[in-house]
Amino acid sequence: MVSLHTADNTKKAFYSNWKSVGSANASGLLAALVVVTAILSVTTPYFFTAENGLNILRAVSFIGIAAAAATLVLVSGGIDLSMAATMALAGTVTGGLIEGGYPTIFAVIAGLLAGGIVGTINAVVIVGFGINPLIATIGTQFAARGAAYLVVDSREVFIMDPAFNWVGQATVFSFPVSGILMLLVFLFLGWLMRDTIFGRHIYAIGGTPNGSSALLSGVPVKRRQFQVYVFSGLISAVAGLLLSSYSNTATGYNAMGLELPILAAVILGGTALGGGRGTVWGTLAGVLLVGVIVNGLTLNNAPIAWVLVVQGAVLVIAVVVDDRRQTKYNK
Amino acid sequence: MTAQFTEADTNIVYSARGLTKRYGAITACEDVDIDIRRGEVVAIVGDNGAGKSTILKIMVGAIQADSGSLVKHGKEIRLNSTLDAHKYGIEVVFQDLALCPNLDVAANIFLGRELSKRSRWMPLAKVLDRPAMRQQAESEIGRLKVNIPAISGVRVHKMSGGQRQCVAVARAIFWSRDVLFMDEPTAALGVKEAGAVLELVTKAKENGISVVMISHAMPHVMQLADRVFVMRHGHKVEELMKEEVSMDRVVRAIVGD
Repeated sequence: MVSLHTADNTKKAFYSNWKSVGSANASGLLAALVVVTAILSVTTPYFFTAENGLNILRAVSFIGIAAAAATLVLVSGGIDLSMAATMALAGTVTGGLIEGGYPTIFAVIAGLLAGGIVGTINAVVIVGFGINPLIATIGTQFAARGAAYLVVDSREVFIMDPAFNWVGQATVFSFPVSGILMLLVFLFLGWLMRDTIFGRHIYAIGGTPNGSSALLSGVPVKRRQFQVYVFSGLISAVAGLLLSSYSNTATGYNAMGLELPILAAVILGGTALGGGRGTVWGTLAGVLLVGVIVNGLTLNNAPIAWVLVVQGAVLVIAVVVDDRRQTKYNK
Repeated sequence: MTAQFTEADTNIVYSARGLTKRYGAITACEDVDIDIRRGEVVAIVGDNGAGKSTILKIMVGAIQADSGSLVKHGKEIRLNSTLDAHKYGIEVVFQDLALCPNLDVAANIFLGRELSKRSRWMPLAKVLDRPAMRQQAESEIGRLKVNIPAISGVRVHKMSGGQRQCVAVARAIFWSRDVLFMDEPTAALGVKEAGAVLELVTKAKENGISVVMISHAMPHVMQLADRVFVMRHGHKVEELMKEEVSMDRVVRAIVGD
């Protein structure tokens, strides 16, 4: 009965598996990106330029960072809908402190801590009390959004700190610093998910409902889930600070409604809504596709209503694609 | 004749004494004693609701008894989880296998007990030692002669039910130092696939590992078991040595005839 696979067989199986699951999704995304780019290049002469490319990179950097963290949460079988509100809260905490004359570094650390606190509350409610993450993070979404308004008395704070604004607006050799920061976050999360025990556990937990198989195999499921939500809060805060730095403003309205474009990008990038599958590199492709579409619509003077319609359509398409992909995966 | 062993039997590696577990008004098992000797295959049989799975779950730490004790190599131990059982060299293959379908064989074998090494890029961080895990998994799967498509790169969900069962058993044998518990190891498998799993049980036994299996498949019990415990209504009603086991006698004990 015995047939043990040689190293060659193992390699063949690996590549065939990669081909069937990974690259089908990657090539689909790439094709979509090429088609969209081709259409937009024809409709407006301002689209297909190096400058616009860097603009897109800058514009998607904060969504990209949040989407990278959302990938981690979704792969673990969870969901975090409080990310956009956490972005706003981190921005207003930091903006308010900078306005109040506190040192920039202190204000930034406080903003990050605010994100960490929201993440910890999510973790306690979801992991500690066993509440459904969808419900729990809708709750913290409202609470964090409210807190974001409260810390600045519902005002719009203009941030006049050159050091703080440098990150979101400066370029290094024409390359936006915010884009570099986003790529660094992707590199770090890519490494964390692929090469570390933590990452392996995250995939294992998302592989079966409630991480049951991972738990029986000895994975500290609750500890890992707790870490994921705290991490999500912290990275959302980084994204929020970048948004405030990019826009010079901190307001409770910042990042309003960004939850769904973030989720759309992650799911488009191949991450399973049900967990256990996905990579940050797929998410990066999804983020770029969404960014290119929004940029193209703006350059074509499309009204904001149309941008919303298209973003909604992208989310629906992403979910349908995920469903089809899951059906194929289960076969 | 009923098998009898004394506490002084040095071959006994794991024992349960007076295990009792109740769920409200229902008694799942009551005052059950079990001794497991080195390198033997023990089968626990009984009708549905007889208490077989409860005994198994208590002995692997998945649930805790209301009263009674567990003794490993003469020392009383307390198991609060299956992780605790792992520390004592006790492994289990549950009926649902507890494999992660989205991971490959090597990742499943080492899940929760991953090998790591210092990162080349971040010396303070530890990263997965994939080559070492793949090599050890390959060696174990090769030694057990398990027929699966590949150790790495192919996710377990792409494999047949029998192959998955073999992977789960191979993982348990790989980590087991003393005792391996199996809940219905051949349920829902075809003849050929069940044969492969039974072959693995024999190999575990040859390696000096004691195997305790719950099974409804009487031919498999007759084929492999050195001893058979018969459970009925939460009590151990019969303990038969291999030479005493017959289909008729076991079935009579199960139904209480």
